[in-house]
Amino acid sequence: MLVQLLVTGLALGSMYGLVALGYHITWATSRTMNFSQGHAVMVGAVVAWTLVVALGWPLPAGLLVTLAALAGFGALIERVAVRPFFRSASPAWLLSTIACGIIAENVAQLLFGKDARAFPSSLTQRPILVGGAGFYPQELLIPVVGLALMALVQLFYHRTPYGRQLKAVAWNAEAAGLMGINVPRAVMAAYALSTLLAGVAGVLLAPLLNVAPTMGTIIGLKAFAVAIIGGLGSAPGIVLAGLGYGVLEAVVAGYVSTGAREIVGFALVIAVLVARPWGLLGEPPARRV
Amino acid sequence: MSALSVSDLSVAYGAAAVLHGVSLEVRAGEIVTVIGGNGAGKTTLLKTVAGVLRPASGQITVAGQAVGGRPSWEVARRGVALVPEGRGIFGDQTVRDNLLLGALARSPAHGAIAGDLERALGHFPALRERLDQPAGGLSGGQQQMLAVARGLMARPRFLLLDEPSLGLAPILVREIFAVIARLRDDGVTILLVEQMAAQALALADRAYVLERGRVTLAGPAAEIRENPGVVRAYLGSGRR
Amino acid sequence: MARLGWAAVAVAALALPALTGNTYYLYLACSIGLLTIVTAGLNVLAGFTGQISLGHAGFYALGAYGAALAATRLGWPLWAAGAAGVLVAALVGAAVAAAALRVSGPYLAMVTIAFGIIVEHVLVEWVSVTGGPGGIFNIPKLPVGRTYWLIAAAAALALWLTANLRASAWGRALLAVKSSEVAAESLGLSAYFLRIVAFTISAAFAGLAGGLFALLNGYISPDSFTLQTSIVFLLALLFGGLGRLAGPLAGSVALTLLPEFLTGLADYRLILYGSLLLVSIYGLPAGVVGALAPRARPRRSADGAANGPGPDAAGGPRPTAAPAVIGSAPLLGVERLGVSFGGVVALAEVTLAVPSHGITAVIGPNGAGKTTLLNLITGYYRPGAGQIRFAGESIAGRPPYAVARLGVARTFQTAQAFDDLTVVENVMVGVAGARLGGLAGALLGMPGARRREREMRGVALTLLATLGLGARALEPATALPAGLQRWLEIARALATRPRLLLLDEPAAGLSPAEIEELDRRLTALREQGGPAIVLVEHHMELVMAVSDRVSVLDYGRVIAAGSPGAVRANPAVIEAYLGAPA
Repeated sequence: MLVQLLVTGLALGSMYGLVALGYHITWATSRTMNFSQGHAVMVGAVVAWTLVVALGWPLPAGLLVTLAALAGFGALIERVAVRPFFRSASPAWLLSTIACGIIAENVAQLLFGKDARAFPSSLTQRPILVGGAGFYPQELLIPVVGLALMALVQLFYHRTPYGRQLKAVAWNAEAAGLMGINVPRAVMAAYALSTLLAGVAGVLLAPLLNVAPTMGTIIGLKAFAVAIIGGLGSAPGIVLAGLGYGVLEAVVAGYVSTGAREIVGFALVIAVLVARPWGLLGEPPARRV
Repeated sequence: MSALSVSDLSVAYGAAAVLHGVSLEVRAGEIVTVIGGNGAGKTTLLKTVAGVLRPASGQITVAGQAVGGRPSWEVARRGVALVPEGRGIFGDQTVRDNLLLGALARSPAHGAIAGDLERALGHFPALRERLDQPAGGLSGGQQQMLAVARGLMARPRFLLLDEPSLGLAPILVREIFAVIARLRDDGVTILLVEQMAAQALALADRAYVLERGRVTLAGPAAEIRENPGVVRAYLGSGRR
Repeated sequence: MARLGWAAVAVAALALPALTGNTYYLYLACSIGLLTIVTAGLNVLAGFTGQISLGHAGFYALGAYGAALAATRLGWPLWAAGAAGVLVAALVGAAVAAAALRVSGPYLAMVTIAFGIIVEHVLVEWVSVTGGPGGIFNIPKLPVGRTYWLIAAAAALALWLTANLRASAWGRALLAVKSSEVAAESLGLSAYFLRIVAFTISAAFAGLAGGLFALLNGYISPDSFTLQTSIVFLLALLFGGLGRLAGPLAGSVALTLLPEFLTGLADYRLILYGSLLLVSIYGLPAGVVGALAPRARPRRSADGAANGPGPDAAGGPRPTAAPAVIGSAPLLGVERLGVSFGGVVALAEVTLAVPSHGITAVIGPNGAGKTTLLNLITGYYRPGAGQIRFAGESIAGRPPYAVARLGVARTFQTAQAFDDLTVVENVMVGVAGARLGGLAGALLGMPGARRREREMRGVALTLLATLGLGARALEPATALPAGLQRWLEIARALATRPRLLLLDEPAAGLSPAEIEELDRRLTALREQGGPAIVLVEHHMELVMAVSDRVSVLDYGRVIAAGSPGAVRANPAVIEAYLGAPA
């Protein structure tokens, strides 16, 4: 049973990490985030379902268009809900991203219907049995793809010129502008990437969770919990916190109850906020006067 | 036409006006300095020229093209490189990556970047040993060197230096000024904003004295150096 | 005008039951009342302190379930059950806030969302107590007519309490924290504590509404307490007018009646809410109420001066700060103070002694560490090494508000007036300092609180009059030009009756005439036995004219100290400013 819980936990946890990395990316570049990151998870699953299941497109083509749609969705949110409030101290961006999210949810309801639908996948047909524990190949695929994607993001950031430009904007936007970097466009790119990662998580989870317009909310919130625990400013912290959170959740759900799962998770966030508000691997912010 | 010119520039932060009708010109090959005490508006002037701040009124042209009010990344790509006060080093990236970021704004006509990197390191040999170290670990003086080197990587038509001596120990201040002298000899056009009036005036071809947001003196550096108004601009006239 | 509006609302509320026997209309009116109570509380949080909560459906639920359980399981009388709901919501609210507010804005918003979701889950899962998805039936229920009066009274009470709060020292303190946390802390206010108070008040209001909701329906289930409910709460407030006293009522009427007119569009409800939210944010930053009644009407300022305190008011000449310290111990002693940021040394071994009278100037080139020194003294930075003693006490490492409470006031390089307050209210924040009085007295507008309020206003007006701002006392602080904002900031700092006043570049951005005025005022302050002053300033004419002593900082060290004349002639100082000839 424990092996099974560990696999389930790592699968979900890597997805929390992926979504949470999205919070980190936009926060680092612009000190804003998409409060509807969970809706991006849903958009990824719904678009992929529509293309692949409903319209019967081949999987690669469906995925490619889904990714493009997700990047576009992220860019749109940045343009409509974030950029107008980029420089203002008010949390207007917080509310406007939420507004975009609930509009997206309603649109999905109208186009897709309110009910959850299955996303059939050959990887969730037959469970494999390993030492008495049974799980779907999809559950093994998810953490592998998730970790690989997170590693790719790190490579992109540290090893490509474009990643270095985003890093420069994150470190000092004014100086980045002086280098000739178009700062608003970089922020838009960060939003596109952030939404993309969340949407990929939605696509990967769809065969396990079913697809529904409301599927993303909880995942988005748990990912934020993960971001707080790991440290909003620390990508490695977020990846580790994601895996840890997923495993903890699975173990609590397995041995105690699914209701206790949410309570333990939330209590953990509160504990981290009290003891280390900047996260386990984050660094305390310097106070500016 | 290859000049940077500022005419009748006014800038305000909110309700507080900082610059009042400032005009100046930097011609190709020149080194021009703007000196003045703290709070005179020197940094505001450079930031506005570089597109970080928006002017309230007035014109800024680079080689005949108006750039006033354009965002900093566009101004940078027109050949204006500002080495900002506080240096603006990307501390989490290596020295090499900082230098490569500096090369972003350069026009493709300049050929391979490697040659520019070599030349920049030639001016600042101390950076060569630290090319692959994070820039945040450099000392204050080295960070200033890196900031200037990064500015050079853009092959700017106009290099704007904002108080390169700020916060540096006297020996490093001398070194920085020696570097600026060498850049001048290489033909780099420089607009130097400084508080260290003596050193700046010794280097520059022409100078402007900025006092409370207004140009109060302008002329050949050698003449300005002899003008008693300079000391007054800094330390007041001493009523008591 | 405003009074007329309130009277019209009151008449409408009183007349409604007589006009209609239709219980559905009464039920709608009750819904408006409940939403008004919740949003009035949210207004204290979001409108006064600028913090956003998206979890108030959770507190609404706690109030509802708390009251319902107390009434059904424990058989408590209805009033006690309602009080239990309020108490539960307030206690949990304080706990959530204490954790989430350790970090700023976005964290709180997200933690509150999570909180709301958790509450919803617990309601569904904890079947033995909450009844699970089916909820709780058989809650003792009043006839809708009587509930209407109860809810109408509670809504009126909620609006009245927030109006009282806004007009009290607490309300000003909350708005001050919203405008500038840094400046508020320099006056002795703890932003963290105040935000917790605001959050707790808002949670209690939501709990009250929840309890009434349970009594109105006689039946509750988790469906009424979702994230969407929280969003509607916030939307109603934003649409009605954030920070406006009438905003909650206006927004509640709109958000309750709108779905009634658009019943055919039920499937588009989220799109409608989302669009309304975007419209509110883009187009109506002050909500419907703000759009109807533009703020910042210029008021007849002469009234302010005329309404100033009579001779018997508590104003009068301010007593000198503290008896002069006998002996040689300085009021402020900084010893070998050092700090570095990211490996760069900003200050090293700085030693400075400030006697309890006179003006001590700290000058030095850009980047010499002057403002850093002020930030260390006032607690905004923690020193890496060295000692700071004020009036004999070690204050190094204490938080800013604690330092301020000892009698250290300061101003900032960029003046930080509290934008949401009038000029006189800005000063009143300083007059009150940390002494906000009882919270209950403020909420209820008790006579004692009102008397204190008049006294504080009198003190503030006198101070403004002596600084030449009396004529503009009733204008919004934002209406003052930059030069006068500096005066306002100095007046506010003086209002705390400090023993030590730290001025950070007060002359920056002032015109020559204003600088002369500053010169006169500072001199007068010294001669009248005002607080000891530390003056960080670039304007040398001013420094040389007013200072008793000058210390010169360069590269984070003191390179010279002495009388203005001696410092000005010191070759090291000239070199530090002008550089050495090459």
